[in-house]
Amino acid sequence: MKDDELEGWRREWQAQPAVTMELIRRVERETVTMRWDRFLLLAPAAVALGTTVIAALNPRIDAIVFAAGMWIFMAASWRFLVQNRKGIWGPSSETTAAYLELSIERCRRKLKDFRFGRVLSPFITAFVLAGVWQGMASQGRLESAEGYWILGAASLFTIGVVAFAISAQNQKRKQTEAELEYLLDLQRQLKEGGR
Amino acid sequence: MSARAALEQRFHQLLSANGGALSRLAASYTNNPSDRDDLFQDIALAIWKALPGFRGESSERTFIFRIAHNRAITYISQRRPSATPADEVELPDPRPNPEKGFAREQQESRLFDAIHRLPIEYRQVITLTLEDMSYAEIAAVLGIGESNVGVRLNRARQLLRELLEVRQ
Repeated sequence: MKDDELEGWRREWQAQPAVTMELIRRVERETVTMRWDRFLLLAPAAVALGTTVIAALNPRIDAIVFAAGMWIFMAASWRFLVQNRKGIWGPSSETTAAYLELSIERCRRKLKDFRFGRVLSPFITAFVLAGVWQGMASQGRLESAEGYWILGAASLFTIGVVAFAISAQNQKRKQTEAELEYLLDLQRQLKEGGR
Repeated sequence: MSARAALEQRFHQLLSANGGALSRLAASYTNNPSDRDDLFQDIALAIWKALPGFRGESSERTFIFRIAHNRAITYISQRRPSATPADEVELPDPRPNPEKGFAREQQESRLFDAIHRLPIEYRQVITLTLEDMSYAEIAAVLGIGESNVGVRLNRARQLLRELLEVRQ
């Protein structure tokens, strides 16, 4: 009776679907994330497009410079993103070593992403704040103390948001560094085992 | 064939032969499918890392399951403070649930859910038993005595029966 019970459970338990090589699935998941990364640039592109529309409707030199600057930042980001994704869309062969190599390379590129973001974000922030300051000044909204208060508050808020984002990215960077270290160690072990 | 290629081939063979069992083991530690995938991957990588050092002191099956359980314990200890103590097993609500059907899938899921509710020391023993492991193998995997395996298995079966009966 009891053995029948155990056998029944065993059949049910072993009937659960099996999962095959998860390293391959991980790489596949990362690939999907990388494809979505491209769409992340759509938001800044929308902002750049918005500044262009404003500049077209109100063709002042400061508006045109601001729109042009936004497009330059956009182009630089796109170029970096495309360059940084080269050669990491798939493994060079269907071997475990190739999949591991790909995961390592993706970690390295992710760290490059973080460095690029850290360098670019202060420039973009400064540029946007300068644009807002110039826009408010040209509209005569900085002639009163209230205007300066608004500009100061908006600047502090923006800087705070950017600082928070950089700090969050730092956390992710540390995780990626730890992951890279683990994968490299694994690769070393594999090479030593292969000797 | 180079030693490295041979190692890779051995790793693939081990995963092909035991992938299903390792996947079920991972699933017994976490309900979340993406966590299960992560844990499975952790286990696979840990096996890969340990494989060059394997000198045949035990069977390969015992070797990989020992690694898998160690990895899984580490994984869940990082995710939550502690496992459910043995005397705090929460029995499900015994009232009938009209949405429950009689399909085979649900039957399997019922067993899986019940196993997942067991305290960890019983869950380990019952899952290894359901993977056709002997007392000696389970004892080697978990690092406990064979008599202890028997005691834990009896208690696990009793608890599992209660959980399944209440859920019917």
